[in-house]
Amino acid sequence: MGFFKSKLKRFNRDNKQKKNENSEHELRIDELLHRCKESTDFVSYRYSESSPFYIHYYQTIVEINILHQYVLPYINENESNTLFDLQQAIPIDNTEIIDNVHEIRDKLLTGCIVIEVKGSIQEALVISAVSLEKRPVSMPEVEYSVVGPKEAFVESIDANINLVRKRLPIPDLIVEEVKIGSLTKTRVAVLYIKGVTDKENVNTILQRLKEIHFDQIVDSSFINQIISDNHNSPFPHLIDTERPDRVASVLSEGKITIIVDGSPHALTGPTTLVEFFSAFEDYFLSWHIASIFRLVRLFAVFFSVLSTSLYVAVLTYHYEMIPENLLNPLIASRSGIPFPPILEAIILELTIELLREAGARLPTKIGQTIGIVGGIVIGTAAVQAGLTSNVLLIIVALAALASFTTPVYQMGNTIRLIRFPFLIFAQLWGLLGVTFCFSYILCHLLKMTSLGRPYLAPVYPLRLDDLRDSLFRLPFFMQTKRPMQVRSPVRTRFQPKKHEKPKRDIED
Amino acid sequence: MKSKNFLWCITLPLILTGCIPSPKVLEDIQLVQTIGYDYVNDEEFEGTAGSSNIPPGEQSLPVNEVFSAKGKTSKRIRQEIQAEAARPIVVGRVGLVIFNKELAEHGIEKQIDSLQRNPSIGRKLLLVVSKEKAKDIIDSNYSQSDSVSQYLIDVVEQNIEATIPEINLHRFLVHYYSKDADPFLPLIEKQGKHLKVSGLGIFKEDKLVDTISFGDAFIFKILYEKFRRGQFEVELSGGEDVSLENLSSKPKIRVDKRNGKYIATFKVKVNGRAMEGVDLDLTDKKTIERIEKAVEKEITERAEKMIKRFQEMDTDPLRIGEKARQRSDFNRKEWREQYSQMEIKIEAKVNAVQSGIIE
Repeated sequence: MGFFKSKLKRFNRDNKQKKNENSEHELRIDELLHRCKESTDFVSYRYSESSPFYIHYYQTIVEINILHQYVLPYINENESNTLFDLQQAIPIDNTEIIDNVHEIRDKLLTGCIVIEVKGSIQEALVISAVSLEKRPVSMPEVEYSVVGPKEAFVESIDANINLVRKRLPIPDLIVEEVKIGSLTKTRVAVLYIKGVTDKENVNTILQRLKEIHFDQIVDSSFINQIISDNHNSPFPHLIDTERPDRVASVLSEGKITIIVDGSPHALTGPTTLVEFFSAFEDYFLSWHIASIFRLVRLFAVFFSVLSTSLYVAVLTYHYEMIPENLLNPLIASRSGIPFPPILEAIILELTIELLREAGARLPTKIGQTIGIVGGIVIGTAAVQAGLTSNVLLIIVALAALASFTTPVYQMGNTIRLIRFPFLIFAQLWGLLGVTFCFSYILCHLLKMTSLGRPYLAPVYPLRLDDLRDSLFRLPFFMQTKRPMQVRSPVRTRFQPKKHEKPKRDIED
Repeated sequence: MKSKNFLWCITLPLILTGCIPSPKVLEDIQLVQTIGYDYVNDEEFEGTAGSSNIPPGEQSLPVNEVFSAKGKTSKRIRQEIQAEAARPIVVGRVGLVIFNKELAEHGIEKQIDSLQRNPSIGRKLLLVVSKEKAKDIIDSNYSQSDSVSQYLIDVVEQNIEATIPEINLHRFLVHYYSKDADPFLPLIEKQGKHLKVSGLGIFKEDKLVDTISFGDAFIFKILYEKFRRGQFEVELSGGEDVSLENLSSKPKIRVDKRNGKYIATFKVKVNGRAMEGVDLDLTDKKTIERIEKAVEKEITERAEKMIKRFQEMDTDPLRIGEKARQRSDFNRKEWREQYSQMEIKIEAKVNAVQSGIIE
């Protein structure tokens, strides 16, 4: 009951807040202007003693040339004293006469010039003159690919939608916009292709977005965390990508994309675990090569997660498992080291993590020295000083290398993290502990969902059709269907040709 | 519900603390790699454990370390050995067990029993019988070794590939516990600074009853199992020596029962390449045929002689009994009575090809 009471209270409070806002509606324009004038970048003046027009704007977000070239001359020339006549005269589209103070305030804060007539109480002419600082579209840095497009998203949401729409010039590409964040008022756009995307998925996302009560949405990763299906999971639930080509391809598969203003990363979903290990470059290479690379990446994940813990487990509990030829080198490298295998492994793993963290935090120019310090000084010196064994150093370095092969950065971080529970369990119970830990994570993955769709698909539940583009990638002519994961109303992507004709030469 | 699951996850490991294996950190244990058993008297025997200490460093060579003690049971011996050792002794990495010939003649049941009961001992363990004292074989230095135990294991393993039939603890136990077969083990001896496999020791139950020579061991292998990459030498009627290389063979045993009498037939198919015929024209078809005939004759004669000896000893290491048991009308009592007198035929079929890069 207490639960309902608190809900009721909140409901009442919300209502009161709404009332406050409504009463603000009755607040006069001059009161609003008075509040704005507290900031020094707010400019407010009467055009001239004889003119009836008052001009207000924030000089930091308004393109001043528009005001000078297209607004002021017409105010000067215009003999009429009404806003309507002025609106007709000014050669700019998107001008509005608004009588809602609330709306006027919003426009003012998003870069519009407000013109008011002396004597008119509730009306104002709003002219859009937004000046936005944005950087040009640049190369993708996180998801770099050797072949393929070299465009990456930038911070501006309009530029990002432009990049996507350019690749999908169809009216069915729908953009729905929501504003989230009580302070930041961030524009969040949900992109999907109508008719291809399951309406339920869209509704799920829109509902979750609208339910967000948070003061600031600075980046898309905020959204990713807030709307994720399981907040206690270390695994990301949506793929974040900076490649517009990837977004376009994912959209045409029937998935949904979220683009957040101010974030150069778009979120796509619903997604599966294996999708995190497919780089978009896979589609630019021939299918044999891409398949092998994907399998290598998957192997790298297992290697990265399990190798050090297996080392610890085998050396601490299961000496019987070591092959005869490896026994002598292993003992030779281990004997004389003062730490047990677990401490040795944790020290080295932490060293690698420190290097990684230091490399990520330092500016690029100093960052290069980190490699030298890490590689030469710590690596070689630690072995020579007899603090760690050569074999473990190799294993840890390989494991770190393997974890870098994950194409999605967020997933790479997860893999970094889940090595440590494996290590601890390996020390506690040996291989049994590793198995226990693995089962635990497997159970977690089995239960996980992304926007309500199973996360381990197409492996579990087994969907043979979807396997064509998951662990490996079969050629394009076999990818005739959209993945079952997205529940697309139109499953067929294209009709395969029955008999493919041999490609003709120019001489034929 | 969720907190309940969480509680289980925490408490279960705590409850199960007793089931945790005890840690044995690799460099803090004394790994025994070879075990030797020697005869002392009817009650006692001497156990020797060969292990190696590996000094730190990349290029360091292992130092041989041998422990030995006398006692009535292997557990007792292990205790005594433990008293001498600097680190706890573990047997999980044993690769070779050597039985002294004298001990083998008195029976190795006790030792085999303790080996097969130990869960940390692998079934791929090699067992051999030695002519010398097992302790002397383990406690000596061989010229071409990085570790004595490793050297001993390598010698036996290499021979099992090409010259003697495959045998390990698992196979030994199969033969040993079978009612219709008897086990055999490789025979080793020291020769100067080397170890040598010198034949096979044939057992009846757990006692060594006979040994066969190295050459016969190869015939044994031909009759016993399918293999590739063997080598066989034969003297032709004209006195020339010819060797068959890359020999592969596939034996088949058939046991018939006629009028209550068992008859066994070995059908052996041997393929090989004729090499090293110094005075022979190997391109000639007739020569090849002569070689084939000679090899067939040699295999048949030697095999018959060998089997005759097994029958006299009433031991069945070639597991003919196992094959006979597959018959629906098999009668163990009859088989036991008839085995030493029954007729065993050998049908060898040799196919030789000329080879070598020059003609």
